[in-house]
Amino acid sequence: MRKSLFLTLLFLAPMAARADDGALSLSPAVVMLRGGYGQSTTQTLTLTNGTSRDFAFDLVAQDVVSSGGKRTFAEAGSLAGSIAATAVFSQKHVEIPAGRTAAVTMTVTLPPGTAQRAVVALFRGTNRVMSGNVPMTASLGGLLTFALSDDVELQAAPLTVHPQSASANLSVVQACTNAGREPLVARGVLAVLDAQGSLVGKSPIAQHRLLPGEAADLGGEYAGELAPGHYRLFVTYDYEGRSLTRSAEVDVQ
Amino acid sequence: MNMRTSLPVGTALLFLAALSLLPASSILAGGRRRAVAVSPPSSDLAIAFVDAGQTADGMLDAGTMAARPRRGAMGAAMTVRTVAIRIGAPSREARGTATVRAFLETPDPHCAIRIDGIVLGAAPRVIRRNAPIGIATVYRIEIEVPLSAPEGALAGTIGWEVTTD
Repeated sequence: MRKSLFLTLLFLAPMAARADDGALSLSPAVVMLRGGYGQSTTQTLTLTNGTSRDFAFDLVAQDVVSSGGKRTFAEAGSLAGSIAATAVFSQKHVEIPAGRTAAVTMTVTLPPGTAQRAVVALFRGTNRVMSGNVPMTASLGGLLTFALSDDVELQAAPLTVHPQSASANLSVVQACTNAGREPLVARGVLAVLDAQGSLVGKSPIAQHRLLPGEAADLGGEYAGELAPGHYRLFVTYDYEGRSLTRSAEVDVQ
Repeated sequence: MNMRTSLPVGTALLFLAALSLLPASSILAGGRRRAVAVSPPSSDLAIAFVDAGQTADGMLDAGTMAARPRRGAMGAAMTVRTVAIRIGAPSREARGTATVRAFLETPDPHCAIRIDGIVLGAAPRVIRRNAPIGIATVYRIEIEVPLSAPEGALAGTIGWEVTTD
């Protein structure tokens, strides 16, 4: 009996710790789904009110698309093949007392032939909170992405290298574009090789999600200090089971 | 011979907990095909206003507007204040990024509101792409009010929206 009580407390402990962290929390933040046209999915989204006041939210779905390489949000039904227009929430409005949690399910269906690949489930706050004398509301959105085929392609521009200096680490950046039809998550590694081809060090590049047509500058820093010399830099991205490598050379004075 | 055995209470609880963690999306419902989650759902997304003057709940009043109104263009008074918003649990390094949007929920015809130089309207506008998760980001709010406008609290409500990238 004592053991079961301990286990129960063990499971509840993280929830109790989150309940009074002064924040509004939505879980999960992202769900990546694979399916086909006409298929539907039901996801449960849980919002925790970790503040000391009650909050209320309206549930809204919006399409997430890329326009001119930038991610934009569109009202449900405003685009052809809108996924958000098919969204059905178990509740359209939730009220969450302080320290409590509410779960809402959202069902969406992929319209036949749609080019959309992402939708956001938005908990749009309806309570006003005052910051100074500026009224504000807070809203949180969970992202759902859909992959319908294997048409995935990451395009990367040549590396731009910012050499190491007295006040800055060596860093690289490059413009990357999702040229495929499906969303992708790129995870990268920067490797530094010396003039003899020996590995000097590696540094991870933060993962980045790109929707179809979306572009972003990806890159990272090498945290170590390089001795004067000639180096070759390799950046390799791993995305959806594929890889892409770019290289550049740099002299450190 | 009796083959039945009873599970210890702790093992049974662990088994039940494991069952509850099975992804719901993999279950067929209503005979209709479902899209399948290809990765475990990511961790949660949180928002907190973290002004220095925050109250105990971390969400609320940051004090009165600190800046002295100064004369803006065309006979308007401009007040500037900052608000810090933290996305996700606090951490020393960014644990991903999110898009921050803002809009005027109830536009006030007497004033113009800008955040980081972006004029707010009724439709949400992107204020910051790739905002770091876990690190508080400071936003500059400019409120421009015509000198002829009546005194009183700001009628416009700023809505903040945070979505995972």
